[in-house]
Amino acid sequence: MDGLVETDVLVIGGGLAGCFTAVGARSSGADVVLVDKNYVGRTGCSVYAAGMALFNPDWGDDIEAWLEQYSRVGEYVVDRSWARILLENSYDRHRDLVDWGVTFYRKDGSRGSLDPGEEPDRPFWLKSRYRHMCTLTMFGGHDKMVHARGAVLDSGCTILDRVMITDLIVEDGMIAGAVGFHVRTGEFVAIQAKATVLASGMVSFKGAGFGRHMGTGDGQAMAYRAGAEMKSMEWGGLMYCIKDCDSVIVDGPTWDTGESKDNVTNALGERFLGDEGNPGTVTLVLWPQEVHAGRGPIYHEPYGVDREAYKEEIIDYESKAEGPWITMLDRAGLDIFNDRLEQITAYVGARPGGGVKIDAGCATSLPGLYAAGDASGCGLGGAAYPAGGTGMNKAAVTGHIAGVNAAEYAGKSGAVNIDDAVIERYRDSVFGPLRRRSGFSTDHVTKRVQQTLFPYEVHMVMHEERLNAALTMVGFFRDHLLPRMRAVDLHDLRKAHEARNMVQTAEMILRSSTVRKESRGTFYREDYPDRDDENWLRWVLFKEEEGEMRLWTEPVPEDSHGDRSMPYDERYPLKYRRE
Amino acid sequence: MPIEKIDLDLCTGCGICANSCPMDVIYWDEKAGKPYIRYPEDCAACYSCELDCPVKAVYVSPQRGRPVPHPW
Repeated sequence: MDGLVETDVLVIGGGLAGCFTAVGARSSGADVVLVDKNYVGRTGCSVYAAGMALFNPDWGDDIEAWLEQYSRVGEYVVDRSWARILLENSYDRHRDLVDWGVTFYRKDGSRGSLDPGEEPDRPFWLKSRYRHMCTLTMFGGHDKMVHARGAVLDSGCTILDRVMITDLIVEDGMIAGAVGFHVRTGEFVAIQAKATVLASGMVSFKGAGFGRHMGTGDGQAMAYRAGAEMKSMEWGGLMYCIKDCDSVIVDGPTWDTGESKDNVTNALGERFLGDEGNPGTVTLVLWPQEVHAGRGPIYHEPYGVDREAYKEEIIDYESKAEGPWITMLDRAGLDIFNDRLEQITAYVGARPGGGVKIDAGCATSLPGLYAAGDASGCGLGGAAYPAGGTGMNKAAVTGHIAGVNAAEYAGKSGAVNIDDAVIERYRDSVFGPLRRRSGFSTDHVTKRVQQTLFPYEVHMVMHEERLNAALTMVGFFRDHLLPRMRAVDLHDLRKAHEARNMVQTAEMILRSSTVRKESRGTFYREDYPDRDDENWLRWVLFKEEEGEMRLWTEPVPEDSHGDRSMPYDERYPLKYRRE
Repeated sequence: MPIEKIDLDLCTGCGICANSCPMDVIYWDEKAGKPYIRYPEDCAACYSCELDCPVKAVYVSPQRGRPVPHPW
């Protein structure tokens, strides 16, 4: 064995969730190994996330109002008990970030570390719209992750950078660690662990948009292959970007205040977004509907605000969050302040909230396996992204809970001692694509998945026939391309495993979508174009059984249903567009 | 290509970019003691290297190395 590592708790993925998991497990007395295919501190979406939703009654926050908001925007399939756990634990995790020395935006307009108990500043758009509901702290995404890496090392955890984990070790129905390889040295790595935590981020497909190219559903695919129960992967994630500069997410000055409708027009010049009563990204579901009705493409109208004045407000924090997007647009020769630009919805895969099913302690259905952050399906958000800062909130809180519980589980478990012969069996699956002398390139497989999933008519304006057509193609990729995929070097071997995971998660998304026979939030089916509260206040779950995907549904608890007596139009202010 | 250049005249060889590139694009040239761009087409234009470089030796363009399909 080249690299055999033994530990109490193995954490896979070094974004914010993974860092909180590692620190939480270590503080509970466990030996911890944190592994990432990139570099902990510069991996995953956390690097670009610059805010955390935070509940503190002393600052005037109203948790009940905030939960109502989650529920309404998420269209009543939000897991309210999880949403409450996330908010109630958010202040303690905020204090961790303060202790780690993260730079915050302070009330006097300066930036710096906070004193214990000091109330941070709120972004300007929160002050207007969500006043008194919840605090949203702001920090630099990059800065925060530097401090998170430091906290992991200071706590005494071991970090293994550049190790791509490819599969979980399954022994007698339990998870006993994971295997993979070092992307730079080619070393075979096998990590035996008493408890394993997936903190490996979201399901995405390297498409348009920003900062999501590392999230290729690695944890979700590994967990599925190991037999874990999965949850809520039908909800699609949408962002918006400028067509001629599709690596930019435009998070404009009007977006989160709900005034973005003024900047969005169709081919006829109509401002087609009315007052939907919902903020943020949920209204993105209406853009492909507009295109589908023959009124595309979609344009971004000039902001009509003074660039320099705008800079004062927001460019500073944006430059550390969704990328330095003003700089990026400048370099692309695009002037968003004065010119009309064509824009598109960026399909970013399964929306965070779906993933490996966890209970209130972050345990999955498999003994020894936990999940945190975007890899976990805790049902936060329901059918739409609820509000800014919820991703970091989820990463921090689920990470800590998963870490503490994984450490406790490891403390009660005996030593894991997997036979060398068992470990050796995984070597073929790790290095298989590297040994093929001919076959399909990793870029080819990735591109085929993108060409199948990205057209709007597949997973933005859905129809059973088109979902099944896409599933036919994905089944072909799974059965014909994957066994013949070839990696030319170690860098390419990482891409091969990512491509395999993308093919498998594409199937999960599409198959879950065929089950939900209604529309809700960002999930729009042309063949079932209304919410169906009678039948579909339910979650979709699935798992692998004897090589097949078995799907079922479970009811959403009644405390999440909202006021069922309310007229449909009031209950669902977001109106889908029909021809 | 998204990552277009690392100006080796400015570069001090601190190694941050090669160490931390999340897409495994930037590698380290042991002999020269400097980084080099090994897989430019896989750069996702995340800008971490440009933002982290202490001497502003890195330039990243927002254009993709490999076009991705659009929704319409």
